[in-house]
Amino acid sequence: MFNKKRSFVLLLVIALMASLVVTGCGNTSGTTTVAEFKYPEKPVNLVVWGSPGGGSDIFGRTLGKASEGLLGKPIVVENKPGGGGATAMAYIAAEKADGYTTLAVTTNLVLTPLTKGTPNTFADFDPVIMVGKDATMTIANFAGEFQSLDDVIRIGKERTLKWGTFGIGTTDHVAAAILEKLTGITVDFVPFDGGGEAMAALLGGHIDLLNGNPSEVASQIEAEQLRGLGIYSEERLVKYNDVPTFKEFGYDIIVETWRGIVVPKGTPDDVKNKLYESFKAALDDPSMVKYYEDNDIVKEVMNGSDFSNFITEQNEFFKTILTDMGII
Amino acid sequence: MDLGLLLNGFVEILVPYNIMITFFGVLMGMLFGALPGINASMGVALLLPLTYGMTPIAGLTMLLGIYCGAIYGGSITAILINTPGTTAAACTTFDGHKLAQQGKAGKALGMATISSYIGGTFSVIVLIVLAPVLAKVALKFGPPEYFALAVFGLSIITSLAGDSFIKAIMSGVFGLMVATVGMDMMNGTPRYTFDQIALLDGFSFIPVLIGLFAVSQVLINVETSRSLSMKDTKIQGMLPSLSEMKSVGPTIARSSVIGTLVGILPGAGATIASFICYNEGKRWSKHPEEFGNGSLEGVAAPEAGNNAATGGAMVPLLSLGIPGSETTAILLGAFMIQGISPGPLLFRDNIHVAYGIFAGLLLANLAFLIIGLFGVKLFVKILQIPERLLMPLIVSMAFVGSFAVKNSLFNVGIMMAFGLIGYFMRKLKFPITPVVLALVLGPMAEASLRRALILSGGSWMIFVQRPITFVLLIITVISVMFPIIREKMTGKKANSI
Repeated sequence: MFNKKRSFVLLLVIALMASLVVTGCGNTSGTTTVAEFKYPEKPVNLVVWGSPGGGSDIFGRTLGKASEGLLGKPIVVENKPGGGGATAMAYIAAEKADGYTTLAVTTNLVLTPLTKGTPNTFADFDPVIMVGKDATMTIANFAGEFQSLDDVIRIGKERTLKWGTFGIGTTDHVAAAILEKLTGITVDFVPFDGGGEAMAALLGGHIDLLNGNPSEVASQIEAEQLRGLGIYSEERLVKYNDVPTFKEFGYDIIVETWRGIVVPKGTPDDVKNKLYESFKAALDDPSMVKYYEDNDIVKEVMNGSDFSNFITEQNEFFKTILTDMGII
Repeated sequence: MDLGLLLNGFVEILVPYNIMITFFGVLMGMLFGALPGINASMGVALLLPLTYGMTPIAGLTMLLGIYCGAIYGGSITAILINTPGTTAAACTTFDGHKLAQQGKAGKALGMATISSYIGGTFSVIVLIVLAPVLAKVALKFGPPEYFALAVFGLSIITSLAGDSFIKAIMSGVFGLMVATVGMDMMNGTPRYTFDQIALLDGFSFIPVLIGLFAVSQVLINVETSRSLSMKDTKIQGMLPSLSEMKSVGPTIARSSVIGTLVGILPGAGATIASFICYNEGKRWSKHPEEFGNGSLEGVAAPEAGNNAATGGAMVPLLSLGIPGSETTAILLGAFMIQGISPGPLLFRDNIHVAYGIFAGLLLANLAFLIIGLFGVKLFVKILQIPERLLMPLIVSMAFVGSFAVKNSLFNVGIMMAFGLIGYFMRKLKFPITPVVLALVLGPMAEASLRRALILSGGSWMIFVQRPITFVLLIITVISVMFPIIREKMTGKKANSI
């Protein structure tokens, strides 16, 4: 019995030593030569800037899991929360541009540097893929005085509206500010820290209106406690077909939260292509299909260069409006 | 409420697998809660992926078990090593650790366990019976009401003062100042961040807490040997006696009610509940002078209160779909993953799940009572670990915990800096808890004050015109004056006799 145990330990030690030798060799031979493209050779890091359990985290983890098999190596999701994404941006911008660190981004990629003056901007990154957009919806208390967009504009001209926001210079804030400007209504913005408190304030009648992501209010809308008044998108959402777009009323306001993946600037093209192909294929995975559906995210795929142009456009768009709003 | 449905819920939860899962969740929660640096929300997020393959009731009950277990577990380290495992246990250090130093760690732990159980179970019963009604009441709380509540909370600093009233106020103001660091949420201006990205969100709570409590305590212990590790102290009386339980009965009852009500308010939560309960426990106690010197009531009050807040927090989550805290926000995500949306439709579409969760919550509370009572013997063994082993262990936990919050080394630096600050505060006899209280309530007071003034168009009358706000502010004034009034009254009585 004792001997058996000892020989087992011995075996284990040998196995460990052997594995050391093997991995050691693996590293030396692993230096990539120009001629032959081998990527990925080790796990790929996917950084998300949300806390565990938050929107960005769920997105990153779902996509990471779905694309693992397609990439051929594990994808390790890492949380770097803080500063509206600024912490993660600084972290990724300083990493090697070898394709082993990737970052899941949202509209905050342009909003955070603009509104918070943080050093890293979208120009520090190469976009790989855009995967979709969350719509922004204006919501009001179901039983309140705001039954339609017309009510918002009529009452907004009679008195100052109390409009809750999830912060300053956030997508929901910007959308309402454009509406204010286009329609001539008067609005006092009331910033809240998180979704919960703002929603409670709306349900309790302390504020008039709120712009939010449809998935966050789906059950309250269905239960007829909240009412969707308008969508800041090109087209109506399939699930909320009775909620009109602002465009239908003649107010051309498109403000959405987009999501995608970027890598540090200077990452080789073949690496970016490999990542793009893997992520793109992963979007058809049942788990991603379910993700889109559960979170009311409109699937819209762009490749790296289209996404890059789009981000540049968005940066200009938000820069103009935020300057106009007096925030920057 | 429907007794039949609740019975059904019990039938669903009381199968061996679900019981096992619940106990596992509670045990993990206690572990997370007891470890300074891992709080309830991190614990729930960490084990969330395990629930993907479970039935909704099993998965959600496990997560709720972690939540309840963590809130209770925070008291274990608070009592034994004077470091609250979670913020909600900050108040438990006062009397809990004093009792441990007197060799009554077992009694303190037992009292924390039993009062946590009673508080938690009471709040679940309230949740089952009154959730829809109370949710409507919670919605009456707007920015002005939250401001009044925060001011009331800050007035508690006066009763946290040990020897010196002025020093307590100074600690509180220091906490308020620390709380101003970060992005101003009303207009986006960075305050005192010195271009540090890591400071944009302000000081992270956990590193500050660990530094102030754990690291400073270790530094103190290094110079004065044997104040923490009580290797030689004989541990007497494992559990509180029946007569002791009887004497704290009113305190537990009061804390259960207050804790539940505070827990219901989105944005308030277990920490604020525990502070208010400690304060009220002291105010109405027959022996207020014992508070801070090892009073069993001083353990029971915050512990019943913070666990009562867990059931309370479920009220807005389940009946409105509104998460009131970080932990409940993650729980909301867990519901969504199971394909269940909490909120008004829960009781229409998934009523059996709702009642399954109610039953699960009752079981989870029972689980930590059982584990806790059996564990007391084991927990107190921590005190017998030689100091030269325990101290480095605490310090390494402090490093890991601070880093884990945001995976950032910056927070480790914060922890060390506040360790030094805490050390000098202890040396100069400044109380530490007012800093924590101010850190929790400062941002809430500031943000809700400014929100309220936006709502009123700049008029301060909003604080007088709204009845709940007005009453809360009046209570605050009375609360601050109470010690003086009581002195006068007893003085008069003495005179008349």
